[in-house]
Amino acid sequence: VTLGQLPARECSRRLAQQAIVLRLGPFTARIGSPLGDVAGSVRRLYHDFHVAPDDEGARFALSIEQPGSLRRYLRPQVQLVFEDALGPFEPLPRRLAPALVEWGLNWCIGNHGHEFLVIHAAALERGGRVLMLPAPPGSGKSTLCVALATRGWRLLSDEFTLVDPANGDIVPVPRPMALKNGSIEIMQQWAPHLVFGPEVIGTEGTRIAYARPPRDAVARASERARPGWIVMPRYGAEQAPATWRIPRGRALVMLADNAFNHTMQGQRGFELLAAIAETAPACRITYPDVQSAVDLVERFCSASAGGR
Amino acid sequence: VPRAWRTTHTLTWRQWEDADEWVVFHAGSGGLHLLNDSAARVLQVIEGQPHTLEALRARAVPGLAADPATLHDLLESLDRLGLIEPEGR
Repeated sequence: VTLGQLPARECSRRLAQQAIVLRLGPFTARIGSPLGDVAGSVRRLYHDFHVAPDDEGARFALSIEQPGSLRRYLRPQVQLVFEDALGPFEPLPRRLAPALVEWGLNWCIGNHGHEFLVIHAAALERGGRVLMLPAPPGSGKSTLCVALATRGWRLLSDEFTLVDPANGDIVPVPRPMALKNGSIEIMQQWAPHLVFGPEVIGTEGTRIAYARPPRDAVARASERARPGWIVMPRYGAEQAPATWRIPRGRALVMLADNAFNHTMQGQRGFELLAAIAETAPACRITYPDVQSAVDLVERFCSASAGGR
Repeated sequence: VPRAWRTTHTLTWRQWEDADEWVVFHAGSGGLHLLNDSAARVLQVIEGQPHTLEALRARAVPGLAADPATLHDLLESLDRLGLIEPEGR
Protein backbone atom coordinates (compact mmCIF):
# COMPACT_ATOMS: atom_id res chain seq x y z
CA VAL A 1 0.00 0.00 0.00
CA THR A 2 1.22 3.52 -0.73
CA LEU A 3 0.85 6.45 1.62
CA GLY A 4 -1.58 8.16 -0.74
CA GLN A 5 -3.85 5.12 -0.57
CA LEU A 6 -4.24 5.52 3.19
CA PRO A 7 -7.20 7.72 4.13
CA ALA A 8 -5.97 11.11 5.39
CA ARG A 9 -7.33 10.50 8.86
CA GLU A 10 -5.62 7.14 9.21
CA CYS A 11 -2.38 8.63 7.92
CA SER A 12 -2.51 11.36 10.59
CA ARG A 13 -3.39 8.87 13.31
CA ARG A 14 -0.57 6.52 12.40
CA LEU A 15 1.94 9.37 12.13
CA ALA A 16 0.90 10.55 15.59
CA GLN A 17 1.58 7.03 16.85
CA GLN A 18 4.89 6.86 14.99
CA ALA A 19 3.51 3.90 13.12
CA ILE A 20 4.42 4.84 9.55
CA VAL A 21 7.48 3.17 8.06
CA LEU A 22 8.29 4.40 4.56
CA ARG A 23 10.53 2.71 2.01
CA LEU A 24 13.02 5.30 0.78
CA GLY A 25 15.14 3.53 -1.83
CA PRO A 26 17.53 1.27 0.09
CA PHE A 27 16.44 2.67 3.46
CA THR A 28 13.37 2.47 5.62
CA ALA A 29 12.38 5.36 7.87
CA ARG A 30 9.90 5.40 10.71
CA ILE A 31 8.37 8.85 10.69
CA GLY A 32 6.21 10.27 13.42
CA SER A 33 4.57 13.55 14.29
CA PRO A 34 1.45 14.62 16.12
CA LEU A 35 1.36 17.84 14.07
CA GLY A 36 -1.39 18.17 11.49
CA ASP A 37 0.60 20.23 8.98
CA VAL A 38 3.42 17.67 9.05
CA ALA A 39 0.94 14.86 8.41
CA GLY A 40 -0.62 16.77 5.51
CA SER A 41 2.75 17.55 3.95
CA VAL A 42 4.12 14.00 4.36
CA ARG A 43 0.99 12.48 2.83
CA ARG A 44 1.10 14.89 -0.10
CA LEU A 45 4.82 14.56 -0.85
CA TYR A 46 5.23 10.83 -0.13
CA HIS A 47 1.94 9.99 -1.85
CA ASP A 48 3.42 7.22 -4.05
CA PHE A 49 5.81 5.69 -1.50
CA HIS A 50 5.24 2.22 -0.16
CA VAL A 51 4.36 1.92 3.48
CA ALA A 52 6.25 -0.97 5.07
CA PRO A 53 4.48 -3.17 7.64
CA ASP A 54 4.07 -1.36 10.90
CA ASP A 55 6.07 -3.85 12.94
CA GLU A 56 9.03 -3.80 10.56
CA GLY A 57 12.26 -2.47 12.03
CA ALA A 58 13.29 0.80 10.38
CA ARG A 59 16.80 1.90 9.45
CA PHE A 60 16.04 5.43 10.68
CA ALA A 61 13.47 6.65 13.17
CA LEU A 62 12.61 10.30 13.43
CA SER A 63 9.86 12.37 14.85
CA ILE A 64 8.89 16.03 14.57
CA GLU A 65 7.55 17.33 17.86
CA GLN A 66 6.90 20.48 19.81
CA PRO A 67 9.04 20.89 22.92
CA GLY A 68 6.81 20.40 25.94
CA SER A 69 7.51 23.65 27.74
CA LEU A 70 5.69 26.88 28.43
CA ARG A 71 7.62 28.34 25.57
CA ARG A 72 5.24 26.67 23.13
CA TYR A 73 2.67 29.28 24.03
CA LEU A 74 5.05 32.22 23.70
CA ARG A 75 7.12 31.41 20.67
CA PRO A 76 6.18 27.97 19.36
CA GLN A 77 9.01 25.75 18.22
CA VAL A 78 9.55 22.31 16.76
CA GLN A 79 12.39 19.88 17.17
CA LEU A 80 13.67 16.76 15.50
CA VAL A 81 13.78 13.65 17.65
CA PHE A 82 16.10 11.04 16.17
CA GLU A 83 16.13 7.50 17.53
CA ASP A 84 14.38 8.65 20.70
CA ALA A 85 16.99 11.32 21.42
CA LEU A 86 17.10 14.97 20.49
CA GLY A 87 18.38 15.35 16.96
CA PRO A 88 21.24 17.46 15.68
CA PHE A 89 19.30 20.68 15.16
CA GLU A 90 18.43 23.40 17.60
CA PRO A 91 14.68 23.81 18.05
CA LEU A 92 13.30 25.73 15.07
CA PRO A 93 10.32 28.05 14.61
CA ARG A 94 7.06 26.07 14.56
CA ARG A 95 6.30 27.07 10.95
CA LEU A 96 9.27 24.99 9.72
CA ALA A 97 7.86 21.67 10.93
CA PRO A 98 7.04 20.27 7.43
CA ALA A 99 10.54 21.09 6.13
CA LEU A 100 12.14 19.55 9.20
CA VAL A 101 11.06 16.10 7.96
CA GLU A 102 13.23 16.59 4.87
CA TRP A 103 16.16 18.13 6.73
CA GLY A 104 16.01 15.31 9.26
CA LEU A 105 16.02 12.62 6.56
CA ASN A 106 18.89 14.37 4.77
CA TRP A 107 20.81 14.37 8.01
CA CYS A 108 20.09 10.65 8.56
CA ILE A 109 21.34 9.68 5.09
CA GLY A 110 24.32 12.06 5.03
CA ASN A 111 25.54 11.15 8.49
CA HIS A 112 24.41 7.57 8.95
CA GLY A 113 24.10 6.02 5.50
CA HIS A 114 27.63 4.68 5.68
CA GLU A 115 26.85 1.40 3.96
CA PHE A 116 27.16 3.59 0.86
CA LEU A 117 29.66 6.11 -0.40
CA VAL A 118 27.51 9.24 -0.10
CA ILE A 119 28.19 12.14 -2.48
CA HIS A 120 26.40 15.48 -2.20
CA ALA A 121 25.08 15.55 -5.76
CA ALA A 122 21.73 15.26 -7.48
CA ALA A 123 21.45 12.14 -9.62
CA LEU A 124 19.26 11.37 -12.63
CA GLU A 125 19.26 8.38 -14.97
CA ARG A 126 18.69 7.79 -18.65
CA GLY A 127 19.56 4.69 -20.66
CA GLY A 128 21.06 3.05 -17.59
CA ARG A 129 23.58 5.89 -17.07
CA VAL A 130 23.56 8.41 -14.25
CA LEU A 131 24.01 12.14 -14.61
CA MET A 132 25.48 13.55 -11.40
CA LEU A 133 25.06 17.23 -10.48
CA PRO A 134 27.45 18.09 -7.64
CA ALA A 135 27.22 21.73 -6.70
CA PRO A 136 27.05 24.05 -3.71
CA PRO A 137 23.79 25.68 -2.55
CA GLY A 138 22.72 28.55 -4.80
CA SER A 139 24.11 26.96 -7.96
CA GLY A 140 20.67 26.01 -9.22
CA LYS A 141 21.36 22.29 -8.81
CA SER A 142 17.92 21.46 -7.44
CA THR A 143 16.11 23.58 -10.03
CA LEU A 144 17.99 21.89 -12.84
CA CYS A 145 17.32 18.52 -11.23
CA VAL A 146 13.57 19.15 -11.14
CA ALA A 147 13.68 20.44 -14.72
CA LEU A 148 15.41 17.29 -15.98
CA ALA A 149 13.22 15.00 -13.86
CA THR A 150 10.22 16.38 -15.75
CA ARG A 151 11.90 16.08 -19.20
CA GLY A 152 12.71 12.41 -19.62
CA TRP A 153 15.33 11.83 -16.95
CA ARG A 154 14.54 9.49 -14.05
CA LEU A 155 15.07 11.10 -10.66
CA LEU A 156 17.41 9.12 -8.40
CA SER A 157 17.85 11.91 -5.85
CA ASP A 158 17.98 15.69 -5.78
CA GLU A 159 20.49 15.60 -2.92
CA PHE A 160 22.52 12.37 -2.65
CA THR A 161 24.36 10.12 -5.03
CA LEU A 162 24.68 6.80 -3.21
CA VAL A 163 27.43 4.49 -4.47
CA ASP A 164 27.41 0.81 -3.54
CA PRO A 165 30.97 0.05 -2.40
CA ALA A 166 30.63 -3.57 -3.51
CA ASN A 167 30.27 -2.84 -7.22
CA GLY A 168 30.16 0.92 -7.87
CA ASP A 169 26.44 0.88 -8.73
CA ILE A 170 24.52 4.09 -8.09
CA VAL A 171 21.55 3.40 -5.85
CA PRO A 172 18.38 5.53 -6.16
CA VAL A 173 16.90 7.25 -3.15
CA PRO A 174 14.16 9.42 -4.71
CA ARG A 175 12.48 11.83 -2.31
CA PRO A 176 10.73 15.20 -2.49
CA MET A 177 12.73 17.81 -4.41
CA ALA A 178 13.61 21.08 -2.71
CA LEU A 179 13.06 24.41 -4.44
CA LYS A 180 13.75 27.89 -3.15
CA ASN A 181 12.51 31.42 -3.83
CA GLY A 182 11.89 32.27 -7.49
CA SER A 183 12.64 28.69 -8.56
CA ILE A 184 9.32 27.64 -7.06
CA GLU A 185 7.28 29.70 -9.53
CA ILE A 186 9.64 28.92 -12.41
CA MET A 187 9.14 25.21 -11.88
CA GLN A 188 5.39 25.59 -11.40
CA GLN A 189 5.29 27.09 -14.88
CA TRP A 190 7.81 24.64 -16.29
CA ALA A 191 5.88 21.60 -15.10
CA PRO A 192 2.30 22.56 -14.17
CA HIS A 193 1.50 18.97 -13.17
CA LEU A 194 4.08 19.01 -10.34
CA VAL A 195 2.52 18.64 -6.89
CA PHE A 196 3.98 20.86 -4.20
CA GLY A 197 3.91 20.63 -0.44
CA PRO A 198 3.32 23.70 1.74
CA GLU A 199 5.65 26.66 1.27
CA VAL A 200 7.61 27.62 4.39
CA ILE A 201 9.82 30.59 5.18
CA GLY A 202 13.28 29.55 6.40
CA THR A 203 15.14 31.18 9.27
CA GLU A 204 16.93 33.52 6.83
CA GLY A 205 13.77 34.49 4.99
CA THR A 206 14.22 31.98 2.18
CA ARG A 207 10.99 30.60 0.73
CA ILE A 208 11.19 26.81 0.56
CA ALA A 209 8.82 24.36 -1.11
CA TYR A 210 9.17 20.68 -1.88
CA ALA A 211 7.84 19.01 -5.03
CA ARG A 212 6.50 15.46 -5.05
CA PRO A 213 8.93 13.15 -6.89
CA PRO A 214 7.61 11.65 -10.15
CA ARG A 215 5.63 8.44 -9.58
CA ASP A 216 7.77 6.51 -12.06
CA ALA A 217 10.95 7.45 -10.16
CA VAL A 218 9.47 6.19 -6.90
CA ALA A 219 8.21 2.96 -8.48
CA ARG A 220 11.65 2.23 -9.96
CA ALA A 221 13.63 3.05 -6.82
CA SER A 222 15.21 -0.40 -6.75
CA GLU A 223 16.65 -0.03 -10.28
CA ARG A 224 20.30 0.84 -9.97
CA ALA A 225 22.42 2.38 -12.70
CA ARG A 226 26.04 3.07 -13.66
CA PRO A 227 27.92 6.39 -13.60
CA GLY A 228 27.44 8.31 -16.84
CA TRP A 229 28.24 12.03 -16.67
CA ILE A 230 29.16 14.73 -14.17
CA VAL A 231 27.86 18.26 -14.69
CA MET A 232 28.59 21.13 -12.29
CA PRO A 233 25.90 23.75 -12.86
CA ARG A 234 26.19 27.42 -12.01
CA TYR A 235 23.22 29.71 -12.41
CA GLY A 236 23.67 33.40 -13.07
CA ALA A 237 21.03 35.70 -14.56
CA GLU A 238 23.77 37.50 -16.55
CA GLN A 239 25.72 34.37 -17.53
CA ALA A 240 25.93 33.34 -21.15
CA PRO A 241 25.15 29.65 -21.65
CA ALA A 242 28.53 27.91 -21.81
CA THR A 243 30.20 24.55 -21.20
CA TRP A 244 33.77 23.86 -20.06
CA ARG A 245 35.20 20.37 -19.95
CA ILE A 246 36.67 19.40 -16.56
CA PRO A 247 39.78 17.15 -16.73
CA ARG A 248 39.30 13.81 -15.00
CA GLY A 249 41.80 14.51 -12.21
CA ARG A 250 39.96 17.68 -11.26
CA ALA A 251 36.63 15.88 -11.46
CA LEU A 252 37.98 13.28 -9.02
CA VAL A 253 39.04 15.96 -6.53
CA MET A 254 35.66 17.66 -6.94
CA LEU A 255 33.84 14.41 -6.23
CA ALA A 256 35.93 13.91 -3.09
CA ASP A 257 35.16 17.47 -1.97
CA ASN A 258 31.46 16.64 -2.25
CA ALA A 259 31.67 13.20 -0.62
CA PHE A 260 30.40 12.89 2.94
CA ASN A 261 32.27 9.76 3.92
CA HIS A 262 34.92 8.65 1.45
CA THR A 263 37.63 8.88 4.11
CA MET A 264 35.68 6.37 6.23
CA GLN A 265 35.91 3.94 3.34
CA GLY A 266 39.68 4.42 3.10
CA GLN A 267 41.40 3.14 -0.02
CA ARG A 268 38.11 1.67 -1.27
CA GLY A 269 36.49 5.09 -1.11
CA PHE A 270 39.24 6.53 -3.27
CA GLU A 271 39.01 3.67 -5.76
CA LEU A 272 35.25 4.16 -6.09
CA LEU A 273 35.57 7.90 -6.72
CA ALA A 274 38.42 7.35 -9.17
CA ALA A 275 36.34 4.80 -11.07
CA ILE A 276 33.53 7.35 -11.43
CA ALA A 277 35.94 10.05 -12.64
CA GLU A 278 37.45 7.53 -15.07
CA THR A 279 34.06 6.54 -16.49
CA ALA A 280 32.02 9.71 -16.42
CA PRO A 281 33.07 12.72 -18.53
CA ALA A 282 32.69 15.96 -16.56
CA CYS A 283 31.93 19.56 -17.39
CA ARG A 284 30.99 22.85 -15.82
CA ILE A 285 28.06 24.80 -17.22
CA THR A 286 26.88 28.35 -16.69
CA TYR A 287 23.34 29.28 -17.62
CA PRO A 288 20.91 32.17 -17.35
CA ASP A 289 17.65 30.17 -17.41
CA VAL A 290 16.35 26.65 -17.04
CA GLN A 291 15.77 25.91 -20.72
CA SER A 292 19.35 26.78 -21.66
CA ALA A 293 20.64 24.61 -18.78
CA VAL A 294 18.61 21.65 -19.99
CA ASP A 295 19.86 22.24 -23.56
CA LEU A 296 23.49 22.37 -22.39
CA VAL A 297 23.11 19.16 -20.40
CA GLU A 298 21.44 17.35 -23.31
CA ARG A 299 24.14 18.48 -25.71
CA PHE A 300 26.97 17.45 -23.39
CA CYS A 301 25.45 14.06 -22.61
CA SER A 302 24.76 13.31 -26.27
CA ALA A 303 28.21 14.42 -27.42
CA SER A 304 30.23 12.58 -24.77
CA ALA A 305 29.75 8.85 -24.60
CA GLY A 306 28.64 8.67 -21.01
CA GLY A 307 29.97 5.80 -18.98
CA ARG A 308 32.11 4.26 -21.67
CA VAL B 1 73.82 17.22 7.94
CA PRO B 2 70.87 17.90 5.59
CA ARG B 3 68.05 15.56 6.34
CA ALA B 4 66.40 13.43 3.71
CA TRP B 5 62.70 13.73 2.98
CA ARG B 6 60.51 10.64 2.99
CA THR B 7 56.83 9.94 2.37
CA THR B 8 54.66 9.61 5.46
CA HIS B 9 52.35 6.89 4.20
CA THR B 10 51.40 4.76 1.23
CA LEU B 11 50.39 6.83 -1.80
CA THR B 12 48.03 5.89 -4.62
CA TRP B 13 48.25 7.72 -7.94
CA ARG B 14 45.90 8.50 -10.78
CA GLN B 15 46.66 10.35 -13.97
CA TRP B 16 44.73 10.83 -17.18
CA GLU B 17 45.87 12.07 -20.55
CA ASP B 18 43.46 15.01 -20.59
CA ALA B 19 45.69 17.17 -18.34
CA ASP B 20 49.26 17.40 -16.99
CA GLU B 21 48.00 16.83 -13.47
CA TRP B 22 48.11 13.99 -11.00
CA VAL B 23 45.79 13.00 -8.20
CA VAL B 24 47.47 11.43 -5.19
CA PHE B 25 45.62 9.68 -2.39
CA HIS B 26 47.24 9.59 1.03
CA ALA B 27 45.89 6.52 2.79
CA GLY B 28 47.02 7.78 6.21
CA SER B 29 44.75 10.82 6.24
CA GLY B 30 42.27 9.84 3.54
CA GLY B 31 43.26 13.12 1.87
CA LEU B 32 43.27 13.52 -1.88
CA HIS B 33 45.42 16.12 -3.64
CA LEU B 34 45.77 17.49 -7.15
CA LEU B 35 49.43 18.01 -8.10
CA ASN B 36 51.02 19.52 -11.16
CA ASP B 37 53.43 17.43 -13.13
CA SER B 38 56.67 18.59 -11.52
CA ALA B 39 55.34 18.33 -7.94
CA ALA B 40 54.13 14.83 -8.72
CA ARG B 41 57.52 13.84 -10.14
CA VAL B 42 59.37 15.11 -7.06
CA LEU B 43 56.98 13.26 -4.77
CA GLN B 44 57.36 10.08 -6.81
CA VAL B 45 61.16 10.28 -6.55
CA ILE B 46 60.88 10.65 -2.77
CA GLU B 47 58.34 7.83 -2.65
CA GLY B 48 60.85 5.55 -4.35
CA GLN B 49 63.57 6.43 -1.87
CA PRO B 50 64.18 9.24 0.67
CA HIS B 51 66.11 12.16 -0.85
CA THR B 52 67.75 15.31 0.50
CA LEU B 53 67.11 18.62 -1.24
CA GLU B 54 70.55 18.46 -2.82
CA ALA B 55 69.99 14.94 -4.08
CA LEU B 56 66.66 16.02 -5.56
CA ARG B 57 68.34 18.92 -7.35
CA ALA B 58 70.83 16.51 -8.85
CA ARG B 59 67.92 14.46 -10.27
CA ALA B 60 67.00 17.53 -12.40
CA VAL B 61 63.28 16.87 -12.35
CA PRO B 62 61.86 18.14 -15.67
CA GLY B 63 59.73 21.23 -15.40
CA LEU B 64 61.20 22.28 -12.09
CA ALA B 65 63.54 25.27 -12.00
CA ALA B 66 67.06 24.49 -10.86
CA ASP B 67 66.61 27.26 -8.32
CA PRO B 68 66.93 25.60 -4.87
CA ALA B 69 64.39 28.04 -3.39
CA THR B 70 61.68 26.73 -5.70
CA LEU B 71 62.39 23.14 -4.72
CA HIS B 72 62.57 24.12 -1.06
CA ASP B 73 59.12 25.77 -1.29
CA LEU B 74 57.69 22.72 -3.00
CA LEU B 75 59.04 20.41 -0.28
CA GLU B 76 57.58 22.70 2.38
CA SER B 77 54.21 22.54 0.62
CA LEU B 78 54.27 18.75 0.41
CA ASP B 79 55.24 18.68 4.11
CA ARG B 80 52.31 20.95 5.01
CA LEU B 81 49.97 18.61 3.11
CA GLY B 82 51.30 15.77 5.27
CA LEU B 83 52.61 13.89 2.24
CA ILE B 84 56.30 13.99 3.23
CA GLU B 85 58.39 14.58 6.35
CA PRO B 86 62.08 14.90 7.15
CA GLU B 87 63.61 11.61 8.30
CA GLY B 88 63.85 11.42 12.07
CA ARG B 89 60.98 13.79 12.80
